[in-house]
Amino acid sequence: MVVLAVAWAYREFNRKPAGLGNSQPAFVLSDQQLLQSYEENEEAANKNYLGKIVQVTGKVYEVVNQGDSATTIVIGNEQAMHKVSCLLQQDAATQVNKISKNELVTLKGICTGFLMDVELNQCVIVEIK
Amino acid sequence: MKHFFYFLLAGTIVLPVAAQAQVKLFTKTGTISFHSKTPIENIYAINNKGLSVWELSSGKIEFAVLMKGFEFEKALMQEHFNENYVESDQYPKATFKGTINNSNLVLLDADKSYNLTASGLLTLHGISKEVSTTVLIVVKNGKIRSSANFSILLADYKIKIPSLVADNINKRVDISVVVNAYQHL
Repeated sequence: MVVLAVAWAYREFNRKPAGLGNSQPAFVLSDQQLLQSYEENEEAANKNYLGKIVQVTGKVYEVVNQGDSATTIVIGNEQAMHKVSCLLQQDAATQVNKISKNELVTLKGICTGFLMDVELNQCVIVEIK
Repeated sequence: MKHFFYFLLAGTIVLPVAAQAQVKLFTKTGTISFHSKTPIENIYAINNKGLSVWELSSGKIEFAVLMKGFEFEKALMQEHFNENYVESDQYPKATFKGTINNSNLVLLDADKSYNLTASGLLTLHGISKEVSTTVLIVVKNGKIRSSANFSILLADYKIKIPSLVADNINKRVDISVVVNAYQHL
């Protein structure tokens, strides 16, 4: 019993942040729907989406490589001031070279809030259309 | 003739400053990381999505970062950080609003490094406190990089650490802010 408890504690202590590969999204929507709710009322949008798995579909505006394997896919309209910025989970970053500008993609990630863009973290690519 | 000379001299001094009067720089990919070190445990977290806007002539600079965007090595640390310490549902952002002194001396068209000072208000966990630090700015091949380090006391921001883990977390946390390439706004 004690051994089991120690083993559980050890595993819990060393648990890595979970990947989103098989997780179900709490919200499925378009980039425009997500942006609209943040532009209308950031506080209300945070109540809905903050910390939740959000799946968004939209057109790729740009792919930003920051080195150190940090890769971001930005989706949204070319002229729009605010976009949806999806920081990829490390193992998803290998799929990035398949993605080009204006392509329709579906990504899911954890919503961390709104700065210049709506930010999603730990994103995985669900579908490239 | 003498006056004309002065006129020329004044022109050479004023022009470079005037030329960058409107220069605003920004980034959406600033790296903000923090480190707590104790003999028992090292805790490190990083956020690569810091937003910053810097007006070169006035030196006004702002940073904003989303608390839920900090990534830890261990899931438990990340959960405790968000839920118990910085309460990121209630306070999703940290911001810095301040000034880089002598920022107008930074020339964007010459390779050079600058050691400047910055000070301003850091708002975290709903509490604003004055912080100041030195900033290293490196201009190279037209790329503008900035980096700064400073530390904060958790108690100043009313971040409470339960006594059970008090020895695992340093009361003073080191913060590093790096922008690899500011872009023109």
